[in-house]
Amino acid sequence: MEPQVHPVLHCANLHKHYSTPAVQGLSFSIAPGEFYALLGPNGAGKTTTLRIIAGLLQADLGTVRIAGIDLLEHPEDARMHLAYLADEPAIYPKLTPIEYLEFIGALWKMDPAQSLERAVELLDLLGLAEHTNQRCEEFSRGMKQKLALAGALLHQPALLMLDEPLTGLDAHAARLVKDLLRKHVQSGGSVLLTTHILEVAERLADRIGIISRGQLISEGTLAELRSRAGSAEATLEDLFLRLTVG
Amino acid sequence: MRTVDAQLRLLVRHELRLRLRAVAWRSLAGVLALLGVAFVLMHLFAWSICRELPRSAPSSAEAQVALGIAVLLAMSGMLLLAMNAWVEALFSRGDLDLLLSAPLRPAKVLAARTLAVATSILGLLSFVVLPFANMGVVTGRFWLAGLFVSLPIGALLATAVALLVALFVVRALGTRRARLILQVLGAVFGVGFYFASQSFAKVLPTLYSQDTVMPVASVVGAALTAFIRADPLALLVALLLTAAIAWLAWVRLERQLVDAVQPAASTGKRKSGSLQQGTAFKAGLWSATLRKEARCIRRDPLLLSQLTLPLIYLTPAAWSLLQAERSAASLPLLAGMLVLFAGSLAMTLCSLVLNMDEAPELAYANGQSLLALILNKAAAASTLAFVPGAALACLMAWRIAPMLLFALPFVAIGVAIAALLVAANVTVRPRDGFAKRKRSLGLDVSFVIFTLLMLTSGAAGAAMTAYWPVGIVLAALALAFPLKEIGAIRALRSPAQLWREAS
Repeated sequence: MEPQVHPVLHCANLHKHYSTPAVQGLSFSIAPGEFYALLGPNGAGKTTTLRIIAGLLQADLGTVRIAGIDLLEHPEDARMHLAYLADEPAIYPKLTPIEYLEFIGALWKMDPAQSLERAVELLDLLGLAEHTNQRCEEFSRGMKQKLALAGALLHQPALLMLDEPLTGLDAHAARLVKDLLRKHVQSGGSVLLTTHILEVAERLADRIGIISRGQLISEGTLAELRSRAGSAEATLEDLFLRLTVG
Repeated sequence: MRTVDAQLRLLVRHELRLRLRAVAWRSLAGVLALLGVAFVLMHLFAWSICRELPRSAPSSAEAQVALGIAVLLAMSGMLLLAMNAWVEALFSRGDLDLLLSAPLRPAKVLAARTLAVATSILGLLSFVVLPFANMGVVTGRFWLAGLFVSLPIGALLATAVALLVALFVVRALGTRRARLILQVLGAVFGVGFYFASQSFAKVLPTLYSQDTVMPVASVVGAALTAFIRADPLALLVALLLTAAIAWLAWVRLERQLVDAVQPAASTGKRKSGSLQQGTAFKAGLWSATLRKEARCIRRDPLLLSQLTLPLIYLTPAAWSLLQAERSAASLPLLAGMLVLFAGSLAMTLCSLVLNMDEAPELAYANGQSLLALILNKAAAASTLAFVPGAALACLMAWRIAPMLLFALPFVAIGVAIAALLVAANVTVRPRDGFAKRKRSLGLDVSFVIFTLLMLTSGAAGAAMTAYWPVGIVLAALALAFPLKEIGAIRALRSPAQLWREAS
C-alpha cells in the first residue's frame, strides 16, 4: 500500500469579513513540489488569504491544513512547514544579515551550526555575502527584500508563501529570485505566490488561481485556463482581464 | 519544555539586544560616562534626602499615607513608561508578522516582550530609585533596602497592567486608533503624575483631617509602605496580582495580538464623496504648500498627537500657575508659560513642515527650485505655527488680559526662534513612521531647549533654598544635555548639499 501523500496546503471554504466580505468560500489545494500563483485585481482578497494561511488572521469560517496539519488545532506544528514573506517584510535595522538569519533559524528551531551554514550559503547566492557585517539599516529596499527571502528559505519550508516578492527588485535581482524559487520547487518544496506581474506567473506557475471579490473564479494550468476560455493563443493577461473585468 | 524555555530565552535576548542597539547609537563609552556622572550626582541628591528620613520605617498613619502616595506616584511613572514601551513594542517595530507566522505561541511573544519591557523600565527607574536604596543603607536607613526587591516586582506589575490596557484598547478600537489612544493615555498618566506631585504637600494636611478617608488611606498607606520595605506578604500579593494580570493578557487575550497585526485596510474605508467647492488648490507655491501641509497634518491622527502631546504635558504647569495667587511674579511666569506653549507648537509644526514630507522625492523632483520650495515651506510653517500660538494667547485672554500685549511679542519670538532652529537643520525626510519622526533633529533641538529651560529654572530655584544638592544635579544635567546634543546640531546647508544628501 502506498503511503498517503497530503497536499502541502488545503484550504476549504474560507470566509473572512471586514466591513465588506474579503474572502468568500475560497477552496484550493497545493501539491508538494507545485508552484501555484494566486492572481487577482487590487482588493481581491489575495493578501487576506495569505495572512489567514500564515495564521496572522483568523478566518470567520473554513479550515486550513498545512502538510495535513490543521492550522487552528495545531498552529505551531503547522507553521513549522511554512514561511511567509509579506509585501513589506520586517527587517531589523540594527542587526546584521547573519544575526537576522540566525534569529530566524532559532525561531524555526534549526540547529545553530546548520542555520549558520545555510545562512552563509543563501547570502552568497543572493549576492549579499560582502555585506554580512553591515547593519541592515544601511541596506537598499532591494537588498532588504533579498534578505527577507533568504530568511524565508532558510529552514527549507514545505510551503513558501510570497506576497508580491518582486516589488522593488532590479532585473538582475528579480532573475535571481525567480531562479531560487524554481530551485525550491525542484527540490520538492511548494510555492504560493501573489503577483501583479502576470508574465512571472505565466512562466513559473504550474497552476494558476484567479480570485475576484474574495471568490476563486478560475483555476488550473495555463493550458486549462486557455481551453476553458476557448482561446488557445490567449496570453495570461488576456485571460486575466477577460475574467476579472466586467 | 526545554524547547519552550529556549524559545522564550531567545526572544527575550533578541528584544534586549534590539533595545540596547537602539539606545546606544552614539559612542557607547560617551553614553556610559555621562550616565555614570549623572548616577553619582543622583546619589548625592539621594544622600541629602535620606539624611532627613527617620532611621526606622515610618509607623505613624500620617507618615505611611505620605509614603504610600509617593509609591503610587512612582507606580504611575512606571505605568507611563510601560505604556510608551508597549506602543513601541506592539506597533512601531513592525516585526509581529514575522514572529506570529513562526512556530511560536503568540503568548510566548507577549511574555518575552513583557519581560523586555519590564527590564527596560527597571533600567530607567533604577537610575532614579537605586540611589535611594544605596544611600538608605549608607546612612543607616536600612528599611529603604527593601527597594532592591520591590522595584523589580513593581516594574513587572506596571508592565503587566500596561499590557492589559494596551490589549483592551486594541480590542475596543482597532490597531490604528489604539496607537494614538495609548500615546494619549500615556500622556494623561504623565499629567496625573505631575498633578499628584504638585499637590503632594497641599493634599496631605487636608487628607489627615478627613476622619472618613483617613482610616482607608492609612490601610492603603501601610500596605504600600510594607511593599517598599519588601515585606514578604506585600511582595507575594504584588506577585500574585502580576501573575493574574499577565495570565489574563497572555492567555486570554493573545488572540487580540494576532488580530492586531491585521492590515490597516481592515479598519474600513472612508466613503468617497463628490468633489466639494473650494477644496481645489489655488495657484502659487506658497498657497499650495500651506494648504497641503494644513490638510496633511489635520487628517493624520499621528501627526495631531505629535502636535498635541507637548501641550498635554505643559498643561499641568499652566494650571498650577493659574491656580496661584496673583502676585507680582505670577504674570511674568504665565507669560513665560505662553511662550513655552507657543514655542512647543511652533517647534513641532516647523519641524513637521520643513523637515518632513509625505513625498520627499516629489518635493525634490518637481519643477520648482529646491530653494524656492524650502522658502515656501518655511513661510507655510511660520504661518501654521503662528496661528495656534496667537489663538492660545487669545484663549487665555479672559485670565490674563492685562499682560496679553506683553505675551504676544514673546509668542512671535518663540515662533521665530523655532523656525530659525528648525531651518538650521532642514532636510526633507519621509514623514511616515514615529521612529523616523523621532530622529528628526528639529524635535531633538526643541527637546533640548525645553529641557534646558526647565532644568535651569529648577536649578536656580533650588540653589536659593536649603536643597542645594538638587540644584547641583539639575545644573549638571542642564550642562550635560547641550554637551550631548551639540554634536548633532549641524550648520545650515545649501540646497546643493541637501540634494546630494537626498540622492
